[in-house]
Amino acid sequence: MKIRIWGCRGSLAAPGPSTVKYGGNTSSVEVRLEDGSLIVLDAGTGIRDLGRHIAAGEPVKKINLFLSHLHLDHVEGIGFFSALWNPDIELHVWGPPSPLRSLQDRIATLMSPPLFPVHLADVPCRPIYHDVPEEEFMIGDARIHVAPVAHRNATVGFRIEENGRSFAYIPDHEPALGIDLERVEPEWVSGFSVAHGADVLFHDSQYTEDEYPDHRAWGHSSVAHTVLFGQMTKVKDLVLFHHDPAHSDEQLELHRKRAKELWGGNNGAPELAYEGMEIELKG
Amino acid sequence: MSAIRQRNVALILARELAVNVATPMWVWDESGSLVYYNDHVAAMLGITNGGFDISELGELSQFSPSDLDGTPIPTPELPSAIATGRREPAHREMTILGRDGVRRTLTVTAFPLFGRGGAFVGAMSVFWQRDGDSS
Repeated sequence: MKIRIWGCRGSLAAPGPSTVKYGGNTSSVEVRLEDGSLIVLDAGTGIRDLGRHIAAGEPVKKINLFLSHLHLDHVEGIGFFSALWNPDIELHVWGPPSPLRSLQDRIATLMSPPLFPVHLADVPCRPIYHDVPEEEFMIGDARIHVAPVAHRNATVGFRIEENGRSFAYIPDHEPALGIDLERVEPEWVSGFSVAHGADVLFHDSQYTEDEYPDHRAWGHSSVAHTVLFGQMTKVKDLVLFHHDPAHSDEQLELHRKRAKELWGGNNGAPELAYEGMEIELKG
Repeated sequence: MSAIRQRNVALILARELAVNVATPMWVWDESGSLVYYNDHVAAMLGITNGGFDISELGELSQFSPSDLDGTPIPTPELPSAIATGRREPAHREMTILGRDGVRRTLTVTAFPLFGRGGAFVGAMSVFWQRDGDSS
């Protein structure tokens, strides 16, 4: 599979000269499977450019859009995703279930006046909505595993496995909330089954260790928590994702330096996510 | 990848609540197995020195739970059993006979836990000891 980042900023889009290197668009990641199937992870502002990229390339008939949760920074780009306006594309939207309101109803709250000029029911594409199942399911030849993870409001992490290679995506996650990650058994760590042994993990890394105490229970991780989670889940490559909008490129590079110190050694040393980052996992 | 056991995040957070409070609490999983108790539960049951060995609801009868008038409470009528078995909240005053031979008066509130998607993931019980040690 081929993975490309179109947005990796957390909370709020942060364009400007201080974020040029790692990007200011909120979460959106393209995953192309071996058979050409297209999965899009989250619909932050990065999905706008992804949609333009898709429209300019080989015609796409079907897209699976996986939403980790419905916080604004992960769905605010959906109305600007070109596929939504193309009646020839079969768009499947997957998201965390709720016993109170359907996924479609929850997204429609965002895509309706006065927040958006067009009702979701009126877009040319007719999206097909799915609650993510508890059981694994298949997209093309890829096996998808989804699990609820610790974050504010219903949130899931995704694991995509194809030809023996695996990519885990947990963009918003606070596994260390109330837990000593160094002492607790793995089955009691949020997100463990999603990340365990993954070739690549994209993981929330919003705060520095100094910032975290003032943001405890906000649903995000410090750099140190992210490194510890990556180590305990034995991921091969860890990518620091969901950069705080207040963090400049220079600050993020200090985060990477700190992450590498904590990681130790060179194998799988944490890297910073950036717009345009591409990773290929070959079977 | 399905071989990796993963507790539901609702159960994880319930357990962490029990870890971080001084109120006696225990947590049961969806199959009715006890998956966590805090030290305050052990003390309430008169169990010391790491001797806690309770894992199933059926084992609670050894503490001779009774109504305040002395009528024994069948295991299926215990609040923890109602919360895990019937998936309903339950609240009751009772006495128990601890391993240390002390009978204590308790108030118990038990409630089922449902994950974000609505699935039953387990239950939690909270205890209040109503008296001091009295035999």
